[in-house]
Amino acid sequence: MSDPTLLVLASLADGDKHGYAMMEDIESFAQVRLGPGTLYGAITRLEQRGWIKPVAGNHDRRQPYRITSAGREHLTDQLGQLNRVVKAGLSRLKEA
Amino acid sequence: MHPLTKFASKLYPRWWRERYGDEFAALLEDARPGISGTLDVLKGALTMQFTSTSSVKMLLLCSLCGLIVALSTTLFLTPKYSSSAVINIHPPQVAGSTQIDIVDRINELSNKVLSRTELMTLMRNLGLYREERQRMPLEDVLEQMKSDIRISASPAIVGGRSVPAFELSFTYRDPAVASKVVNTLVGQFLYVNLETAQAQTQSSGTTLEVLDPASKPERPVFPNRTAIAFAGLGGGVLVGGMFILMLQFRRRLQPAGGALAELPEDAPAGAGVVRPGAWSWKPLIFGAAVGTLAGLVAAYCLTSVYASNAVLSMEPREGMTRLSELSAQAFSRQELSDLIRSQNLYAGERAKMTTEEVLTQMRQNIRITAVPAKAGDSGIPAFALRFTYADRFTAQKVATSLVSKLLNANLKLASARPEQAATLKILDPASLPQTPIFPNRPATTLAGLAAGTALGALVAFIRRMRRA
Repeated sequence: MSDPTLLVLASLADGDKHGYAMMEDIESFAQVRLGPGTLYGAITRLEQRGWIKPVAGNHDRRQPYRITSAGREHLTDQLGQLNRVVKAGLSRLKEA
Repeated sequence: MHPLTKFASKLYPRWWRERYGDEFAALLEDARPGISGTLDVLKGALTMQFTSTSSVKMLLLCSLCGLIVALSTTLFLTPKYSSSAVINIHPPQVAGSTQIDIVDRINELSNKVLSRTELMTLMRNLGLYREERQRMPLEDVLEQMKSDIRISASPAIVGGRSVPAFELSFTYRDPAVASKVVNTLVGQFLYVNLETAQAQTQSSGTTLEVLDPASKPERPVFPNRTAIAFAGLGGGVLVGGMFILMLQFRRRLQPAGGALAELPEDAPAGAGVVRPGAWSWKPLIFGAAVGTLAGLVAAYCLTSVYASNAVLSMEPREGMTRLSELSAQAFSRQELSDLIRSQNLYAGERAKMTTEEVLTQMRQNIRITAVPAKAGDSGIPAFALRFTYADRFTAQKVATSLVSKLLNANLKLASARPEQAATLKILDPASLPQTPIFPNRPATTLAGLAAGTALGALVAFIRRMRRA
């Protein structure tokens, strides 16, 4: 799985994070190191679609982001689809 | 932060830098990206620029780029200057003078002045086409020189009345040399005309008078910067327009596979499948691209075929009825077999085909057609002989041999049947073909594009029907 927007949503699913923290977190759970341009491209699109939002009241230059309920719903759907594919693939591998 | 990374981050659009600039800079300080990271920032900046620029801005930007590229190209092109002179040609003025065709007389003089020997002497004396002579065969350089010399018959106005005249021009990279060549050619025209007039009777000789001597060109005729700038501008608008259309299609469509990055702005949460009945433009674009590529590959991989043409006149007109008999004799089995052997023609075909089949192919490559040639205009019947072959030099050589064979056959027929004798004259010797007649590269590429687009449209239509 290498869709940066899905990786960002998955990273924010367990709490607010700023850019660098997301980068580190994604690398730890998906073994994918997102480049700064790719990460912020995904953040820009996700914010425009209302699936994440910046955490208000932050005075640091490192801006944390939070997943919205629409974002969470979308992530659930996408992961559900992926899960079905994973399950089907694994069971077929066992049968073969 | 590395200066290159900092520079790349400044390439993001202004609105984006105002919104994300600070936090992005903080991320870059923390992550300290290397070369690949810097390239990633650059890619991100360019993507953001292209996807967030307005259509008008994009169109203006592409037009500007096209204009800059076109104008920069002109800097690398060698300018060419054209010098010209106008010569008045007086028909014979004495009583009882014969009517002469001015165009015929100009052609007659041009054939002498622009003969191979004369042009080679001129080339040597004035040191013309030095670079070309080093990298091209002499025949090609001579052909280029011929194409740089233009002679056009056009009446000139002298003292308020129109007089028969012709314009002689020469295009070259050095304006002084261009002017010198035209001066020399004008001198040769005058000399050859005098020589011809002395050889002919007084009643058929013409007089040449230089109305406008060779000009020294001040401005180059090539490259035409205005035309190139407009072409660049047009190209830029076209590319920009295509890019905008592509982006709009991309925004309008829902991609297959649920790639979130490519979902439309107003996509509902959870959307990720293709709408039933939605058009997919991907097959169309893919088909067009593959078709164009296939067309280009075909255009450049197919064996080129060149055609060498010669024009001959035959007098009297009744002689034309004997042309088939003449060509049957000139291009008999024996004659063609000799030619194939002596010129080592159809080497590949001879290895896998019978002699008869090779001869049939050769006959198919020889074509004789009646033409309204220069002499044909003045009532003399003319015909063109064409020979097509994969090598242009061989094509010319064989066409020349075929013309000789026709002349010989005509002589033989004339001595056998003097009452039916006809005069066969070479009006244009066998030409050295410059460009292949097959494949037609632009047409093949366009055919590929059309076929690919049609196939893509069909696939898109089938997909839409299946989804619906």
